[in-house]
Amino acid sequence: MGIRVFLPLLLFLSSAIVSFSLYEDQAGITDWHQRYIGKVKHAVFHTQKTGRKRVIVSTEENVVASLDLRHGEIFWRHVLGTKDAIDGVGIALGKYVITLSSEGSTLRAWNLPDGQMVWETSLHTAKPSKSLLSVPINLKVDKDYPIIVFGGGYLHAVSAIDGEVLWEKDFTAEGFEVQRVLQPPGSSIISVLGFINLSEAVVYQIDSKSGEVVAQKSRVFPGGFSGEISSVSSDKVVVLDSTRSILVTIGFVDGDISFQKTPISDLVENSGKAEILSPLLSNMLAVKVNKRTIFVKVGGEGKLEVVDSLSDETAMSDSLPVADDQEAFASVHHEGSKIHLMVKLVNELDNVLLRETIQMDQQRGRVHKVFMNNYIRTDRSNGFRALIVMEDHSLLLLQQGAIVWSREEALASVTDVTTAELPVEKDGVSVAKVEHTLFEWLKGHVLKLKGSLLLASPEDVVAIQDLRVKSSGKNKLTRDHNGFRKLILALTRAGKLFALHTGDGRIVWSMLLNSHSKSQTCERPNGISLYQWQVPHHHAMDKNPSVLVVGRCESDSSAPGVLSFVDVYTGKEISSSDIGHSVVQVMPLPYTDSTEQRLHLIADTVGHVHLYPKTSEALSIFQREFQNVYWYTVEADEGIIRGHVMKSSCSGETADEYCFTTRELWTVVFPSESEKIISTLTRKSNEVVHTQAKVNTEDLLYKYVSRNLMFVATVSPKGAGEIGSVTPEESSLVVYLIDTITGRILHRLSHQGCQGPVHAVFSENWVVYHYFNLRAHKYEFTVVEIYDQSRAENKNVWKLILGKHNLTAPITSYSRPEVFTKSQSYFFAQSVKTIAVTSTAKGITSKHLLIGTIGDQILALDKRFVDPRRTLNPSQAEKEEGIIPLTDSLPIIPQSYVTHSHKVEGLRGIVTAPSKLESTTHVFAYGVDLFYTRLAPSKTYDSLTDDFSYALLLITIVALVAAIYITWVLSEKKELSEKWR
Amino acid sequence: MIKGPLKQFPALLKSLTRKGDPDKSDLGLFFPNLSLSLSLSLSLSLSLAFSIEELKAMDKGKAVMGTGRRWAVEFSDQSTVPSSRDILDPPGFSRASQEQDDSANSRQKKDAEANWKLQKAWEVAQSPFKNLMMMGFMMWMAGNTVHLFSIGITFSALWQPISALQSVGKIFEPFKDNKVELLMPKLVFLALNLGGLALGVWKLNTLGLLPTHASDWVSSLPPPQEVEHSGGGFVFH
Repeated sequence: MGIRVFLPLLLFLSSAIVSFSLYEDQAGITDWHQRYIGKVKHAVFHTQKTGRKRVIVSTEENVVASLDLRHGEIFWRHVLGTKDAIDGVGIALGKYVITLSSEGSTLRAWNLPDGQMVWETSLHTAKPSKSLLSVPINLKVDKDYPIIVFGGGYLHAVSAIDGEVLWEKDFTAEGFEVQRVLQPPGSSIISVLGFINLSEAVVYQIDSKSGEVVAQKSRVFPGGFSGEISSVSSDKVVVLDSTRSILVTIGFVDGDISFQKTPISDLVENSGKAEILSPLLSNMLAVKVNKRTIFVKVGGEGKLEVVDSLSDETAMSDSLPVADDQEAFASVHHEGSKIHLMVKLVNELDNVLLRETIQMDQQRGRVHKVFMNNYIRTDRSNGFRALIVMEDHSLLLLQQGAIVWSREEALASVTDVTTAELPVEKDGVSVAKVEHTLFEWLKGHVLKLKGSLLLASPEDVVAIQDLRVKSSGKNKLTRDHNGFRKLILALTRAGKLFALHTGDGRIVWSMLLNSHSKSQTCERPNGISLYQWQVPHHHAMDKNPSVLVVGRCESDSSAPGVLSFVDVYTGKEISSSDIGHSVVQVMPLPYTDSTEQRLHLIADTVGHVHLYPKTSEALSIFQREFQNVYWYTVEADEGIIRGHVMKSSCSGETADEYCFTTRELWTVVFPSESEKIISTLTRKSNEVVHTQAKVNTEDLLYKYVSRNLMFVATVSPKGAGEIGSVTPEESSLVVYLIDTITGRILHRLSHQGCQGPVHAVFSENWVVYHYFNLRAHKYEFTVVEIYDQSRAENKNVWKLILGKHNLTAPITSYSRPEVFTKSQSYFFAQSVKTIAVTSTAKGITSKHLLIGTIGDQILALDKRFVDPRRTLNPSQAEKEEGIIPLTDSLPIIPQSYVTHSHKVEGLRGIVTAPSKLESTTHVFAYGVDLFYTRLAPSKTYDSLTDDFSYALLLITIVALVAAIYITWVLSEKKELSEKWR
Repeated sequence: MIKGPLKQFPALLKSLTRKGDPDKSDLGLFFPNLSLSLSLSLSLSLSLAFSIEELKAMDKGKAVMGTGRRWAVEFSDQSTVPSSRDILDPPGFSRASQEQDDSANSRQKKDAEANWKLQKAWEVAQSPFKNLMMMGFMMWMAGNTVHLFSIGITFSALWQPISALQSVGKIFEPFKDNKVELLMPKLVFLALNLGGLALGVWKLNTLGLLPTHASDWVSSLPPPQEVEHSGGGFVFH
């Protein structure tokens, strides 16, 4: 009896599955959303009201945010557009955050407590130039507090209260570039210092009330300036001359300009080129020379003297007034795995106010920036805290000798993503550990039953929600049966590789790329892309999977590349090598060696390709397929696509047997006067296609499924600009489907009066792309499906039953495929940032397009909506096949936003990866924020839903078993009594 | 003449397997051909399960009868069988004369019985026809779309003739007689049931569940391998 009950119980335990569908209470169970801000450029502390300790930061991802100093949480955040880079941040009137962005053309004020925008002003700009924001602290003009802004050749004074432009000064004619705005205390006259053509120093004395020029002085400096400037006091600045070997002190006392030259060789011996560092220190400046940082004190008469010298890798903050005319600054330097934070007085460098030593994770690299802030302790002494930005873009707050909080801001700049499996569960770790006891398990299910029968009290509802979030051990670090738990590997612009858990998005490990060779030129390579290097599944199961990170020493394309192999389970670098040649393209080949290492070809600028891994086994595998490997390059600027074929080993030139020369095979040249390449796309190489046939009501179509097919979109050069900048007659969009083996153009489609940008997705035998229709003033989607005509005669059932067909025989692109296409276009109401498509393990499940909309959300659109077979009045048979009646525009169904209430700010890409369960796919979207969810495009047809009431089922089974037993006993009795009758 | 329950078991098993094997082979023809959806296979297995239940119930009945009787004495008249006679006839009793007396009477009786049996056999042989008409009507009612009802009817229409064909021998067993020619009724019975089967298959085809279309055979074919491989794209910046 016991076994009878537990057998089904065991069965259901083993099939406990979480699935995706979205009711309000299901949000946050399978999905997670993380908010980031990016690498901090400026930080302004705000401690006026002691209760609200906040810091305002602006970042390289064009984010302005207010962070809590206690926990590092985001109070509020605004992500400006990608072209709206922030140039300066300040606080005005003690309640507004002022940001200057878009090269000095946009000035905005945000309310400090809640981040609401108070006003926005667009400023005149004539030409791109350096911009400058100056928020004078105590400048008051007729109850107004002007903000001085320079940008694009114009100097503006803007009211801090309402953003009105008080006055405007045009400097475009002279080519005057403002470097500093200085305001002597207690005066309404401001001094504006700048250079004309970096050779003439000009000082304007401007009345801040009216903008009238009170006085103007200029003086030509014969050698010219380098442009770097450090203001040391209200009437003095120090600049470097154009040779970077002489420091020039510019004094402008009483409206007079004086130069005082001090060669750096007078300050330090054997000086090379110098560099003025950015921190602003009072009466002092920091200069980087000979890989040392020297502090130069500026005397009363412009006399310079060296007061201190520190190692090269020291980061400093601006100086900040502490008590009694004293100014202090913070400096941070490394020593082994520790960092030293020191706060010193500017005037007395020997007087160290604070010295702290903090253990620092090696994976964070060097300190890049320090922002210091002081506060008054309860014993009236000064306390200091420092916000530091590390090489891996992380942001940390140091206070009282400890890291109070840290933020991994590198994840705001993800550049490449791949997924990896978790390790297999070891023996002894069982499901029971997650579910505690059978009693608790039953209790949980009874609760769920109550919930589904609407008997649950509010407390029960809360308990059910908690259970759901905790359920099924989704955060475990082992592989699960359904493949729901995975690692997302994300390569970031900082050169740091992160492994995120799909369950809750936590960082499992992170690794900063560094070159082992420690050559001075290439200590920190920047990662370009990420590839699956070794995915053990059949043999070599004992090996850990690994990924290949291809990096480059410098941003230049001819710079030597670096390969780094990283173990996915441990996050440790297995090996790394400077490969000694440049990297322009990486091609994963469809061949693996006996240890399941994938063969990769890396092309360099010379036109050679190099084979990796460099083993003789890999070489023999490659040589077997030598004739069948091709590569192509897209030269967008010239409008040329070239195809290459392997020619021979380049042993004639170098002794490297893993290097091969190539020969140009074909070129496709687009006429430069009428067409410009704006987008190319190929299928994802790991996509699985289930079948080659497509049933078209009664007819049978054969898909043309080829990996060697490229989608190319070109626009007329006039139409390459902004949308609406050309008339419909001037612009046209042409798309091509090109075979990348032979260079044959399989299909060409022209859209007159249409314009880019083109966002496309290529899967199986179809391409869907998005562009702007100038005539209709609407965005459009077009679908193109490619079918193989040459296989179409394979329709005899008997031949197919007996297997007398050549449908599965390997095909070659040289067999001249006869293709035909079907296409259709639809309007779409939204602008699109990126498009992806769901991918599943076997490719059986129907597909959804994942559209990253302009509102930074992801919309799931069934592929059936972009089916070229749609007609206005589909027949009964077509309806049965699921063909939707044709409409002119694609619907946007609010419920199909997979991001539901979240926004993936600054959305840049969407990555999908299959899970082991055929119905389900992982979706990971990245931008400034990260978002992950699991989708089931055709619903979870192969698993029970999370809501499935196991308790009800269990009760039913028990009741049935009991009933069977009772009736059996009764029937036995009856039979016996009948026999005795 | 004691029949133990154990003695019947092998026979029972045999009858079960005898019944089991042909339907498996008959259905086996259909299995690969059907593009089986989940619901389809479910209903099939359900109908199978039900029929097996029926069979079991039948055999169980027999078995219970067998098990209920631990021993039996046969009182039937064995006098007609001379070889089994071990007791001499009483004096003055002539067996031969009695047989001769009754012979005319019994022959007449036997003829009547044979006629009756033949008549009954013909009735049984024609019985599937009614069934056939009813099935046709039900199928017409069920329509041509695939849903639970139409699938259920189609499979019962397939199952009934098959089970009937399996048990042809059994059905005609009561009418077995040396004098009764059962071949024709059997043939008619077979033909009618085959007709019913054909009707079921035709229905299956109209529902679109028979793999008679090319797409049924290529849908599982993966795309062909490609000989060449190419990679590349934009140059890394």
